[in-house]
Amino acid sequence: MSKPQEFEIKVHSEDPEKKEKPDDKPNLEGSSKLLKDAKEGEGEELSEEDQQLKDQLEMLVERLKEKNTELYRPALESLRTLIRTSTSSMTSVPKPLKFLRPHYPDLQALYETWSPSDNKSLFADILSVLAMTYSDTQPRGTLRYRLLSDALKPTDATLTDPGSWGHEYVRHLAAELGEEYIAREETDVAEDTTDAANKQSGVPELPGTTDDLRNLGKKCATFLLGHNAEPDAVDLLEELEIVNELTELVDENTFSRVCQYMLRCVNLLPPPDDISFLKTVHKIYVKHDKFPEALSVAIRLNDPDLVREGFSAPGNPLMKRQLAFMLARAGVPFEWLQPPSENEGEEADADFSEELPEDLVECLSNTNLSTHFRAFGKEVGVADPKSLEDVYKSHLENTRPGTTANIDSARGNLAGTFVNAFVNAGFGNDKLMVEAEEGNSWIYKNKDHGMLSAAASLGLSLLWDTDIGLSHVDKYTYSAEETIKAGALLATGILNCGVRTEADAALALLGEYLENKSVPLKTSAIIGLGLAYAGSHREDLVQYLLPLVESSNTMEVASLAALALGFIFVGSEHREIPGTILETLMEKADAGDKSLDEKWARYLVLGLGLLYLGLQDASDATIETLKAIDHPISKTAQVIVEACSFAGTGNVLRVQTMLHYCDEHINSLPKEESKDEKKEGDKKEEPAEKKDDTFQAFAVLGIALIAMGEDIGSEMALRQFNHLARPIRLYG
Amino acid sequence: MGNAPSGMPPEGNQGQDKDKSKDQQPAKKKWEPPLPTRVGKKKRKGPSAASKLPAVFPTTRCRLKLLKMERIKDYLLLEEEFIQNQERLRPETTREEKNEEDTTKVDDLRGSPMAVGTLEEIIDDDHAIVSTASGPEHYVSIMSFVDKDLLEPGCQVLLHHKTQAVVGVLQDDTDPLVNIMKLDKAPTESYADIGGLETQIQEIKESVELPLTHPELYEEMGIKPPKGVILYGVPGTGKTLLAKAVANQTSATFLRIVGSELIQKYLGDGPKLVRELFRVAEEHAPSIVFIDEIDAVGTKRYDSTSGGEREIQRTMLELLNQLDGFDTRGDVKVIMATNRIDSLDPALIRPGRIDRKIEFPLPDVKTKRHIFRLHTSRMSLSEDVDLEEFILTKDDLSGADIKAVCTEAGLLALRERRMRVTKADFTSAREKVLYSKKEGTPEGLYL
Repeated sequence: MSKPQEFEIKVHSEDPEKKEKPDDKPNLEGSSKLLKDAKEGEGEELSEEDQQLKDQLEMLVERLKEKNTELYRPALESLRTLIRTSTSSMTSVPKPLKFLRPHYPDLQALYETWSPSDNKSLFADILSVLAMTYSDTQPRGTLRYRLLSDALKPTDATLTDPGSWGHEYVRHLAAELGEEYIAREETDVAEDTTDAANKQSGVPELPGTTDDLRNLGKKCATFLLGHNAEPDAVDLLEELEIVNELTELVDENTFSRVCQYMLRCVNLLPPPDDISFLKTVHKIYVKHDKFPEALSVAIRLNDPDLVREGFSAPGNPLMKRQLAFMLARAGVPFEWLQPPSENEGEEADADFSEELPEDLVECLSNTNLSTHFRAFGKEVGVADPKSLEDVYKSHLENTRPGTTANIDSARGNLAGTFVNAFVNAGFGNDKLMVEAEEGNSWIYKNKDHGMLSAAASLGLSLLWDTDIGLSHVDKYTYSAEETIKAGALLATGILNCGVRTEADAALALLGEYLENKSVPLKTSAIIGLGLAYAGSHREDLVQYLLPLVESSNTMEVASLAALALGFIFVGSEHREIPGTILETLMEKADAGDKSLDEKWARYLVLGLGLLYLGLQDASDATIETLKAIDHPISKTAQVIVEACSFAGTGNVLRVQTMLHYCDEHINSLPKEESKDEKKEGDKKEEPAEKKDDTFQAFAVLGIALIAMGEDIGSEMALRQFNHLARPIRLYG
Repeated sequence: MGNAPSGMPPEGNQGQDKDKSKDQQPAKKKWEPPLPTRVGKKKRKGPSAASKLPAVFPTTRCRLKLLKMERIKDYLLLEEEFIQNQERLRPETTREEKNEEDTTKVDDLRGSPMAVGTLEEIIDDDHAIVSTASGPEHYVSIMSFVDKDLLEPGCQVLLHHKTQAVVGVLQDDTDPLVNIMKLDKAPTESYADIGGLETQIQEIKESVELPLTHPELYEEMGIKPPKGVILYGVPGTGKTLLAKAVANQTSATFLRIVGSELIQKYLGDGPKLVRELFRVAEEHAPSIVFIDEIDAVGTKRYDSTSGGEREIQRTMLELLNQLDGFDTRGDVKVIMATNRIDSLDPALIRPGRIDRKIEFPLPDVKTKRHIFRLHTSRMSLSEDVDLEEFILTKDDLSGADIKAVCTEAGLLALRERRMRVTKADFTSAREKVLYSKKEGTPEGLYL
C-alpha cells in the first residue's frame, strides 16, 4: 500500500527564517491530522532523546489540562527547567519550544480559565517564552504575558529577572518593548482611531502602564549591559525615551563602551535626541571621573555652564592642566570659565584670572604654544627650515634651461611667499623672511601687494611667538611703504592668533590704525584684529569694529569688519552684530548701491554666516530677513548663512535644500539665455548670468560644509559629486 | 559608418582636428584646465568608491547601523531627486537629439571595424603604446572621449582600424572560462531533498550561509567566521547534493568548478584560472565557491619529474594562496568536496584555509528510512512492499545506492509493464545493486 507521505519530508534543522516565522496557520490547522499520522510517521524519525523529551513535554501539558491543581506547580516547574536547560543552535529553534509550539493555542485558552494565583504567574512566564515562536501571528505576545506575569505576582515578591530565560528572550522582549512603546505613543496622539484599529486587528490590549514598560525596559537594559550587548541596551532605552536613566545603570566596566556607542550615534540622530544623548554621555563621564572626555563632550554641546563645571571639577593639578590645554585648543572663550554671579565687565575677568594658578592661565592662554610647538618639531626632526627648493623639487623637473627666465615674475614670487610661510609656519626660522640678512629680506623682491603678502607671511612664520615675533614685525611697521606697513599689521594679527597675552599687544598695536585714512592699513588692521582674537568672544572689540560695518563706510571696509567680527564672535549669535550687518545690507540694497555687486559683499555675508556657525535653527530669523533684501546678494547670503549654521551637522534635509539650490538654477539659466539671445546681443547677457551663478557655487560648498561632520555623509556627498557633477559623458 | 570604410576614418579624424581648432579660437577665453586624470590608477579590487556605497560599521544589528543605512538611503534619494529634476528641467532639444548627435559622431570617429589590442604603457594624457596580437607595438593617441579612468596598463582597448588610436576600453576582462562557472539557474534540490544529515546541514549553514547573511552574529561573539568547509566521505553519501542544496537556498553568487577543470593545457593557465575564479568571486561578493573533487589538484606534494604533475602542484599552491594568502578575501566562502581526504595536502585543509571538515558517513537505519521514503514517495508501490525489510539489512548502502535500488526496482517493474512496484522487484534490484557494488573486490579471497 502507499500511504500519503508528503508531510514526512520535514527538515529538522530549520532555516533561520523559519525561526522568526514558523509555518503559518494552515499548517497549524492541519497539525492535529499531522500529529495523528506523525505518531508513527514523524515520531519514528526523531531520535530517542528527542522522542523522550517530546513525550515528557506532552505529558506535562496534559497534566496542566487536568483538573488536579496540586500537580500544576511541579508540572510548571519542570516545564521551566526543560526550557531553560535546552541549548539551541543559531540555526534552529530550541527543541522544547519546537515541541511545545503546537500546544500554544491550547495553553493560551487554558491560561484564561485559571484563577489568579502564584501558579498563574509562573504559567504566564512560560507562555511568554513560548510566545516567541508566535511573534508573527500574535505580535507582542511575549511582552503581554511577561507583564501579566509580573502583575500577578504579590507586590512584595521580587519580579522575575527576564535574563533567566536567556539572551534571545531578552532581545525579543526588548524589541517588543520598543514596538509597544511606539504604538502607545501613537495611541496617545490619536486615541479613537487606534482603539478601533486594535479591535479590528484583534490585538489584545496590553496590561500595564508606561511606567511598567519602562521598568521592564530598565531590567532588560541591565541584563544587556551585563552581557556585552551595550548597543542593544542603549537602543532600548532610547526607544523608551529614558536615555538619561543610563547614568544609573552603567558601571565602570561598561560605561566606556556605552559612551562610545552613544557618541557615534549622535551624528545621526534627529535634533532633540542628539542633545539628550550628549548630555547623558556627559553625565556618565562625570560620574566615572573621566573629566577630559566629559569636557570634550561639553565643548561639543557648546554649553558654557557645563564647560565651567567640567573645568573646575577635578582636584588633580595635572588633570586640570590637561583640561586647560583642551580648552585652549578648542578656542573656548576665557569668559566662559568665570563664575556667572559676579558683575559683568572687565574687572571680573581680571579677578578671575588672578584666582587661577599661574600655570593654568598659561595653559589657557596658549602662552607657551610656540615653545611647545618648536620643541615638538625638534623631537620629530622637522625643525630645520625648508627652502623653496626643498618643496618644489624643481631639479627633478625636466624643463629646458630657457624656461627658467620667468620664475622671477611677481606671480612666482607670490607663490614663493606663501609656500615659504606655510611650510615653515610656527617655527620662526625660515630663510626668506625671519633669518634673512638686514636689507636683503624677501619683502624687497616683491612689489605692491606682493610686499603686503610677504610682510604678512612673517606673521605666519612666527605664529604664536608673541615676544620675538612682535619685535621682528615691529621694524616693518615703521616702513615708509604703505603696503609693507599694512602687511606688518596683518602679521601682528596673525601671530597673535589664538594666543592671549597680558599686554594685549594686538589690540594696542592695531587699534590705532582702525581710524587710519589709508585703506590698506585700515583693512589690514581689521583683518589682523579678527584673526588675533578669533573665537575669543571679546565684547570690548565690538566698539572698535562695529561702527566700521555701518553702511557709511565703503564696501571693502564694512565687509572686512563684518568678517573680522565673524571671526571673533564665531558661533555666538551676538546681540548687535547680525542686526547691524543686516541693516547695512538693506540700506545698501534700498539705495540701489552698486557696491553690493562688488566681491567684497560676500565677505560681509560670510561674516554674518560665521556668527551663526553650528547654531542650527537659530539662524532662521536672519534667513527670513535676508529674503526681504532685493538684490542678488540675498540669495547668496541665505545659502551662506544656512550652510554655516548647519556646518558639520550632517543634516540631510539641509543637504537637500542645498541641492535644490543647485537644481533650480540649471533650469533658469538656459531660459535666461534664450530670452536674452532673442532680445539682445551676447555681451550683456554674461554679467547677469554670472551674478546668479555665485550662490550655486556657495551651495556646493555648503553641501561639503554640512556633510563634513560625519563619515557616512561625507562619503556619500563625495559620491554625489562624483556622479552629479560629472561634466562630460565619456565612452568606455 | 561601416559603409564607407576607406573614406570615413581619416575624414573623421580631420574633422576632429578641425573641430579642435575651431573650438580653440572662439572658446579661448573659457578654456579650463582639463580634469586631472587618474590614468592607470584604477583600483584593481572591486568597484571604486564612487560607485560603491560606503561600508557600514558596526555590523551588529543596532540602531547605529540602522541610522547609518538610513542616512545612505537619504543621500541616494537626494541623488535620485536631483537627477529627476535635471531630466525634467532640461529642455527637450538638448536632451535627446544632442545625445544622439553626439553618439553618432563618436561612432563615426571610432570607425568600424575596431581592432582589439592591449595597452602596454601610458605615455601621457593623450598618448599610449599599444600592441596587437598581430605583432608590432604602436605609439598611438588616445581619443578624448575615452574614459581615462578605465585605462590601465594591460587592459584590452579598442583601436581604430586605420590610425590605431585608442577609441574605447573593453571592460569585462574576465576569463570566459570563469563566467561559465557562475551558476545562472539554481538547482532544484533543496534541503528537504536530503535524507538525514542534520548535523552536516547545520554545520554547513553555520559556516557558509550564516556568515554571509548575518555577519553580525560572529562579530558579537568576537570571532571571525570560518572561511570554508570541506565535505568528505565515501562515495554516494550526498556531498554534492548538499552543495546543490546550498546553491538552491542562497542568494549569493554561486561559482562551481570541478577540480579537474583547473588542470589546463598550458603552463600557468591553471593558476591563472584559480586567480580569476577568486577575483570574480570577490567582485560578486558575497559569493560561494564550490570545488568538487578537489583531490584532482589537491593531492600531497611530492618530488616529481613530470612537468604535468608539477603544474598541477603549482595550481594547488595558487589555490592555497587564494584561500589564505597575503590578500584577504572578503565575503567569499569556499566549499570543497572529496572522497579522499587522506590524500589531500595538509596545507590545503589546515584551519584558516578550511576551518571545518564535515564528514558524511554512511546512513544509519533512521537515515536510510528517510532516504527510502524520499525516493519512494513518488513511486506507486504494491501493497506487499515492506521497506523496513530493506532498511534493516546490514548492507553498506549509501544514499546513492538506495536511489539506485529504487530506480532499479522501478525499471524492473517497467520492463513487465506493471503499474506498481512489487516486493520481488525490490529484492532483485537490491541484489543487483549489491552485486555490482561488490564486483570490484575479490570476494571471499581473504575470508
